[in-house]
Amino acid sequence: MPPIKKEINPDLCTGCSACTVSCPVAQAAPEFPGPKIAGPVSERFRLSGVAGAERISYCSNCKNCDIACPRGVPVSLMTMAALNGQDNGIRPSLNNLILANGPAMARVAGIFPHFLVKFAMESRLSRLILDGLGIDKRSPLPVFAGEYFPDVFKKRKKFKSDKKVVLFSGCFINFYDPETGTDFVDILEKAGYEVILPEGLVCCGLPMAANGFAGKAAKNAAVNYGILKKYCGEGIPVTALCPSCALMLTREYGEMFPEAVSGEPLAVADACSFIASLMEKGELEAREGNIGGMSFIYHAPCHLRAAGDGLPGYELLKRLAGDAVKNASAGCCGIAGSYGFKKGKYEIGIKVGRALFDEVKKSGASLAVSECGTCRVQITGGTGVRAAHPVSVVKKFTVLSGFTR
Amino acid sequence: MRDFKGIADTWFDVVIIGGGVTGAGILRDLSMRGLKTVLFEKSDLASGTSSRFHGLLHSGARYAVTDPEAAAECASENAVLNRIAKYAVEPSGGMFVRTKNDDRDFEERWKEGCSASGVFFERISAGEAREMEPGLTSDTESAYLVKDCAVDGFRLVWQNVLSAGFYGGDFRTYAEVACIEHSGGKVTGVRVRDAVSGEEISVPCGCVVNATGPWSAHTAKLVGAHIGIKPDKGALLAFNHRFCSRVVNRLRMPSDGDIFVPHGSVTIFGTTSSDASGPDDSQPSDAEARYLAGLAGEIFPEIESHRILRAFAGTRPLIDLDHAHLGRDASRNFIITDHEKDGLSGFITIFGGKLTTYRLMAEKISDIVCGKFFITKKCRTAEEELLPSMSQSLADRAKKVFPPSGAELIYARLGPLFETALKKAEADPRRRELLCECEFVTLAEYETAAALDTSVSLSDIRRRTRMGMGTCQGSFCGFRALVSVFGMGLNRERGGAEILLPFLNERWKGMKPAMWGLQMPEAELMKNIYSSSLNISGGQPE
Repeated sequence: MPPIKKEINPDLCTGCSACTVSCPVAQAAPEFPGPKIAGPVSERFRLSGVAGAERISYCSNCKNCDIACPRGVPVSLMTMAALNGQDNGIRPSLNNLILANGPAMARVAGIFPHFLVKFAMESRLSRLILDGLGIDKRSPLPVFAGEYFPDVFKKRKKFKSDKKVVLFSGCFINFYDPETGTDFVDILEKAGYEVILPEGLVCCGLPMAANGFAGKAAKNAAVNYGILKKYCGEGIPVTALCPSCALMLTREYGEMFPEAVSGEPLAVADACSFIASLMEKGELEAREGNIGGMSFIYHAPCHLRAAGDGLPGYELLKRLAGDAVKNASAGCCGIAGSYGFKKGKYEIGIKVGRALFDEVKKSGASLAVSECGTCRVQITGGTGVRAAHPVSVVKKFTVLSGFTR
Repeated sequence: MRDFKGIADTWFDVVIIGGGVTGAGILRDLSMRGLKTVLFEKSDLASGTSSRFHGLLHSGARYAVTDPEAAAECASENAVLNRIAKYAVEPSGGMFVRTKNDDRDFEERWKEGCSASGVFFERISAGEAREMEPGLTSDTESAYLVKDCAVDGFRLVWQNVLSAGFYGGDFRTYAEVACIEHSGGKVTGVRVRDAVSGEEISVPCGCVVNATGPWSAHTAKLVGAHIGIKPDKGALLAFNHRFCSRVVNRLRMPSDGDIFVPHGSVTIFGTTSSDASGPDDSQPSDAEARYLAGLAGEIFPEIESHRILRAFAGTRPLIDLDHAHLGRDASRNFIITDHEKDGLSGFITIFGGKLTTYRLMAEKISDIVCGKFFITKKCRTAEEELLPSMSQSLADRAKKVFPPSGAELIYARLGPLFETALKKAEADPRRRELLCECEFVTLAEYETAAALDTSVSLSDIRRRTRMGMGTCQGSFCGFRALVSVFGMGLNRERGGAEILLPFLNERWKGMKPAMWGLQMPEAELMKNIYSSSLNISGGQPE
């Protein structure tokens, strides 16, 4: 397996511990020594062949360490590289294999009628079986959609235009949440854009890298990079609905797999910041709509904050719904991609998300809003409050009036 | 050991002065041969030259041209230490690299020298060299693999002393030999001062061995003898991480800044050679640090992106042949002087030499000492391991409380005391936490070392555990160590600043000459932590 290639230099770290103080997992789980020890401190020992990789699988890869670091140390990258190292003594377990390979699972499920899939995934027996395989039976596992987003998109009436935009929809939209994808496409077409969903795109690779399959992730990186680079070269903008996919495509490909993605880093616009730019350009008109007394609580996904480009989704909602939107500002939701589904990690995820759950419940909001699919699943699981992507909320103000979820 | 009263007026066959690797090696050798021996060290074990070097266990290749006899000795002793000292030696292997700026002809002479001295070398292509060490300069023209290793001076000394203890060998630290007593041209004993309390005791003995390295001349002066020795200062840099995976030597006529040694968690680079003002001259200058950093860049061009933790210096006991007028009782590489010829029987000085050949030096002098006591037992120090392998039962227990990769590290540092630390960690999960994160020192290990009577200062605990020698240079662990000292009820008579300042000043001493680039923010952090919390700042003149 080709490990994460970038030579990681631990010298920037002063050991100030800002990362460990900001680490939601370290606060929730005493078993985790914290990002400082898992990352730069252990890195010095990993270089001497002393693995020092114990307990680092507790890292959820939420990247709050990277956000906190005053010195720009790639803390989470070091930890992820170590998880993928050849000599770390850690072998990915079965739950890693399942959670790293969502698309493969989705393809299997796609063979069966949806009612069967839904029944099978929600039945107590299959949750017990999954529990045995390392996926906690209490975790809010989402159910595969009846029709996957690429198929939904194919059936859609073709909208042709000179203005084109590429959508990297991502696994969550593709297999669990095609409605959000459709909402976004509706908005883009309303603004006169022809949406391209390129053939051949695969999972961004983040779940693979985070579960110890960097080799597989590197292959995916090469595939996606090859396809998207072509569009970037032609000046066709690329957008993504999932902040984790976007972070992976733009930043982490280059950091983790410099050999697989030789050349300029990809430019991928966050869906909401792309919508905002359409409004700036006057290509899309948005008026303050009738929100019917609804109120929204917004949760900023960690990987969106890690990208360091502000909170475009929240800004957009603020612009359209004003005071009806509140920012929860309560840190990580605890799910961190696939982390909170795992046995032994589920409790930690719930503990991490507690502050957010309390904030959501306290707000009395009728809808939670967040860009990240698994964050939404976790919030609904932890609070019972429904959750939607900001584009779905925006759609109500711009295209259709019948927004219901 | 620090109990002075217990050995007052007790007869020892041999008193060794000097707790460096030579003294420790002699203590072990003589004890194994049955002589009742005690070692006195004026400060802490391994606090002088034996820890102030690059940590290279020579393969002999460096001396192939300039000193073939030393080269051959290094080659054979390297093999011996790999056998007996696996908990102090890191068998990293080594590489010699000639750049396009280095003399081609020397390479030929070097190969001939290696072959003549029986020093192993194997040619590899420049491309292979750069594949094995990706940071190497593209100016690399030829490269050879050799059998260099890294060796930990602190551990090597302690493991020798502890092994000697198994055979009855005794030692005292902070024990300054104030006077060598003699009558009728024969040594009768020594007077030893407890450097902490100032009290003096008498220890009668039949023989005194002066193994004080660069301090040999000072020691010899106690009996009015003259030793031809010239302390020579060698400055080095310690980098924050390993940027090469084996020892990298520059293939040229031995010169400044030729050697990179990846060592534990750090890389040591050196050295220089200049006249020292005295044997205690261990302060490198800013100019020396900058000069070294420049030289390092000639082999590893990206050196600017590597953080220098500190600069440090040691003094070598170079033989001043012009002023020595000494016979050569041993190899060219070290000298043993029996002062019987100066009219004092029972006083022997050994000096010169290098850490790699310490065991051989100890063997030679022990042969002479044993001769005086009519002991014919042969030296066995090359046959027996310094520290036996960790038992399976200990390893199994350790796995439950220490990170699996950390257990061997702790065992190497603590030796026979490992089980004490293990019990602490087993009894209390809080003691499994890291006190020093940068060097992986758990509270259990720290407390075990701190409880020893040889741990007079925090620096003594540092030398035993490496606490404070990593990235943060004591910014965090110094603070925790102080809290722990009070928690253990140790050092009641001293205040916090009194305990902490010497430790911090020692850290600042090394950080100051190399305080630029990536080390600057660390220094600021450290200064602010201690000035804002305890109202003390390091770097004050002693």
